[in-house]
Amino acid sequence: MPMPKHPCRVAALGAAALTALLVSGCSLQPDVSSKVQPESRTSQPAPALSGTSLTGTPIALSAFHGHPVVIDFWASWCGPCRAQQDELNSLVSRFTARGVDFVGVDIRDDSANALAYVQEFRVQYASVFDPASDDAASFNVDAPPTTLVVDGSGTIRLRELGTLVDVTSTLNSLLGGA
Amino acid sequence: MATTTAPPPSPRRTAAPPPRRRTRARSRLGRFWHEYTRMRTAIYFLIGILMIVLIGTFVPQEFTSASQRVSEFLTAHPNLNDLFTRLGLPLTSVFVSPLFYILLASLYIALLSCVITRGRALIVRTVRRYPRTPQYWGEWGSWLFHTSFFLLVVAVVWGKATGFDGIMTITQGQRVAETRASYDTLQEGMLFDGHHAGYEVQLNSFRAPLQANGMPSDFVSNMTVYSGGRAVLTKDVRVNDFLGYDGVDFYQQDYGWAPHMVVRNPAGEVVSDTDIQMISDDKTASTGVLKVPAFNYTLPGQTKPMQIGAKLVLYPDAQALPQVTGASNTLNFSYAAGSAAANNPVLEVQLFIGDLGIDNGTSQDVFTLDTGAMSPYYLGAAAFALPLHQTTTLSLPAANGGTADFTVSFPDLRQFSLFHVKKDNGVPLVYTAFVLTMVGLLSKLYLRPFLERRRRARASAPALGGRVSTPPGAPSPGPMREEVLTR
Repeated sequence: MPMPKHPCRVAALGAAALTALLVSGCSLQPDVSSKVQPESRTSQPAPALSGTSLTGTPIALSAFHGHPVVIDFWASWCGPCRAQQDELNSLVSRFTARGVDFVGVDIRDDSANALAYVQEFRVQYASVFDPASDDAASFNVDAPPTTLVVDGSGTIRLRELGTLVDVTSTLNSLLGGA
Repeated sequence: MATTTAPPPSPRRTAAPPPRRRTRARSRLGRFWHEYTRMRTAIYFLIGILMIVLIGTFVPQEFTSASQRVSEFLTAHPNLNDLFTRLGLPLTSVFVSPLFYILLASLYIALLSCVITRGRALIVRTVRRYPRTPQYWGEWGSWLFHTSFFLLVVAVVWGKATGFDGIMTITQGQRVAETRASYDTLQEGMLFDGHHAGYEVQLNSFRAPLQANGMPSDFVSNMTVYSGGRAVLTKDVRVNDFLGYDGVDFYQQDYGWAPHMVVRNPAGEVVSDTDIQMISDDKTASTGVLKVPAFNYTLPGQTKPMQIGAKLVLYPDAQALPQVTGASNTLNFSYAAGSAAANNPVLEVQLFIGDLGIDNGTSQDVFTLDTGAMSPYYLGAAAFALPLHQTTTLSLPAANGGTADFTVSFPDLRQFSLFHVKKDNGVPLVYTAFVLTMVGLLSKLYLRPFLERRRRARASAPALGGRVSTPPGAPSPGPMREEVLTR
């Protein structure tokens, strides 16, 4: 086994690396918000999504097979959700007639508060009630509002956090035109 | 005496200092390095670290102690804390202070030098098949002992980099999934892949039995883990008895009251039906905030629906203080904190109406009410009392000069638990480092003396004509051993 020719240099190099590790001890675990990607185009298969709506009716993602689906993860206490709800409503008006389905997933919420939100914003689509965030876990959602675009074959094409900026272009490309 | 001729300096080296200065600098550096890597210096570093640990034991620390105790210390000793902060050692955060890191790094640098030098010598002795003396095995033990400290650092760094550390609050009866969206705060390691376990945990019950002095004797959260919808584990979680499942550990860190509140708007619709998490240090009086962004009622003359918010104070054991107020000598009650037991829960509600400031897209702190665009419901923002199981009816202006009533109810008082949730993949490595430390230490302290005694016993046996001499304090080898040695 070859011996290190200059043990002091090796020690100094190792020590520098170790010091860097020790000093960076706190930054080894940055806050999750600094790691989250606000927008990403993906091609992952969508996990199963099924549950009961806020009004008690069953909802399943499989029922939308063959159509593009926009899935919005939201909560009534979430300020950014309230800020983008009007824009989401206008997407519903524009794309529902073109065969796009919309479904919400209400996470970490109370049903009465969520229903009051739906009434206030006149939300036209149904939402799965997910107080335990199970669907957020299976879709690997970081926080509300997260919006996903799933194509007709069940593949997630777009994932956006806190913005809807690329939803229109993604839906247009899935529908084959502007 | 041999003479040497220095080689002519190459053109690229003309800027270097003259050889004598270089030698002097090298010599000084060598002396410094020699002093720095001495055992005595390492002991000084250790004493420094020990002093800081002692300070951290007696002074409340920001990340581990109750915030009230930290504030009290800072208020009581502002000058002392300023002085130590200037020296790189803020007293309430000593374990993340520059001085602590510098001492730790200095110790490890010295240790690294020692490990490399000794390791090199040991490998040379092993490769060249030098005699395996007791000292040789003792040296290996010593080397293993020192090297295992590095494994400890690697374990800590690996655990931090590949794991996560977060805070999760769960109210009694609530079930939440172990996923990013369920955390109040979350720090993930740089090498963590972002995929959480996804199973659910439910807080079945919480109890904090009180002693005669009013302090809780224990905090116990009864929790069940559900995986694939099936209950797989139920456990009582205490401060030093965590719940671990699938590599994720839940530690009981704190708890608090969570009054259940229901708000109905003038149309009679339930617009808020939720548990409000309250914060408090001693649990005899807790504060919290109610926010109803979707109140769904528009005041006359307004175009935007109003929102309501309230600052809350909860006394689980409210002590009523009668007060006579006003010209009509009306008898009212104000409330003060009693014990931490839920003997007479009363909420003091300070109501505001207007704009919660939540619609501009920014996230808000759930424990803070931004009243910048709100008005107090009562003149002077006076609070009203709302005892448990009671409903208060309040009026708002309605069209045609009339009034519209809405209600605020307090039907139930629950508790929540605050868990420190961790995934630390470095724990097995930490245990390995601990075992290696013990093996090294035992080899150094016991194996070497044992081998030396045995060698002395062997060496002295022929000289005594068949008798074995036992060194003072060493155990006798026994008659069978004597027989073998005298052959």
